[in-house]
Amino acid sequence: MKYSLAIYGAPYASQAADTAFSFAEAAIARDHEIYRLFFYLDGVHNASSLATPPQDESNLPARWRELVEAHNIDAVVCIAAGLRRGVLDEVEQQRYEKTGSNLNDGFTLSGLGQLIDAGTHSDRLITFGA
Amino acid sequence: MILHTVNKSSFHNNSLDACLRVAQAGCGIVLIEDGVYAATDLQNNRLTEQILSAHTVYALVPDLKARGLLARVLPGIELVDYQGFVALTESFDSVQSWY
Amino acid sequence: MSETKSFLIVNRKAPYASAFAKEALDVALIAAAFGQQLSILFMDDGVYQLLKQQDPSGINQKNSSQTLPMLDMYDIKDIYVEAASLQARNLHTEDLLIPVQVIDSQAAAGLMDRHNILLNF
Repeated sequence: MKYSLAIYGAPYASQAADTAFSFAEAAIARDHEIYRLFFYLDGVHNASSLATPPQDESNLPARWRELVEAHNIDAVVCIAAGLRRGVLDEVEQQRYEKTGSNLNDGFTLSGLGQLIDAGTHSDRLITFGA
Repeated sequence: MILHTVNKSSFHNNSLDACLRVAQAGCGIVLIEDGVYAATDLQNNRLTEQILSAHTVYALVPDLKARGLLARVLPGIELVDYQGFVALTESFDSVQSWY
Repeated sequence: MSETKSFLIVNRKAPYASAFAKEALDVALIAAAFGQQLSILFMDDGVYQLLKQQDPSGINQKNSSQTLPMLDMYDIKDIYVEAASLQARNLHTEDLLIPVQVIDSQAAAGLMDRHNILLNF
């Protein structure tokens, strides 16, 4: 089956993103396809390249990046939600003349239409909210 | 049929109550994250025998284990791991997330 | 995909203390702009999003209820409110900014059954 996950919780702020990650891994283990991961609301922080937790703690943003790259998953961050919360790629950094960008490799900024598309093209769309 | 997920303690917010108002006979309810506290013996627990006979209620083992609750799970609650959670989403038509 | 799918947006959070109200409405408008069939259900504290006379200027926020009349302009007509949620809060349809259909909890369950894609806010 094709699964899309809508992730609304920031890493470390709640368990939502962790649960979503474990669900995604389990779905892949059961031979499902992850059609899209859509990060919205505070979930956009999962795509930050700057998260630097202590070495003995789980680095969820890095784990997302590894999962996305290992399985070629379409990982989309809602651009409006990202901009609002300070998750930017280089294009937006230049557009808004900011000092840096932090969108991690493997993720793209795009519009809410990608969430709608995920709904219409997946067999299951599951929300992970904080 | 719908699979409902609840991730909050009923002492935190009314997500479990709202879920139970709307849950139809035969649906599934998966308790995850702090929602697993409802799988234990509480005063005024919403998961009465009547509810447990009308719906199948599951609780996510890694969340129970994290919270030290494995020995406290009510009879009638089915335990699942993450792959079991995925398996449930395969057999129900859609997932309603209460949080 | 040839199967006609329809969306149900379920709004359960009060406005202003979190971004859910505003960002859920954004999803509704985009879904409509993409020509999708869409219903919206307000329940629990989500019914507070519909109250008249909101003025968040003192808390430095935009008035998210001002987006609500746009739903009709985008041809989103199927807007439901759970009766139990209104009653628990001593609210009536006269207190709400837009016309809604008040439904009981069983009908709310029916809504969730009838729509393939559930978006939960």
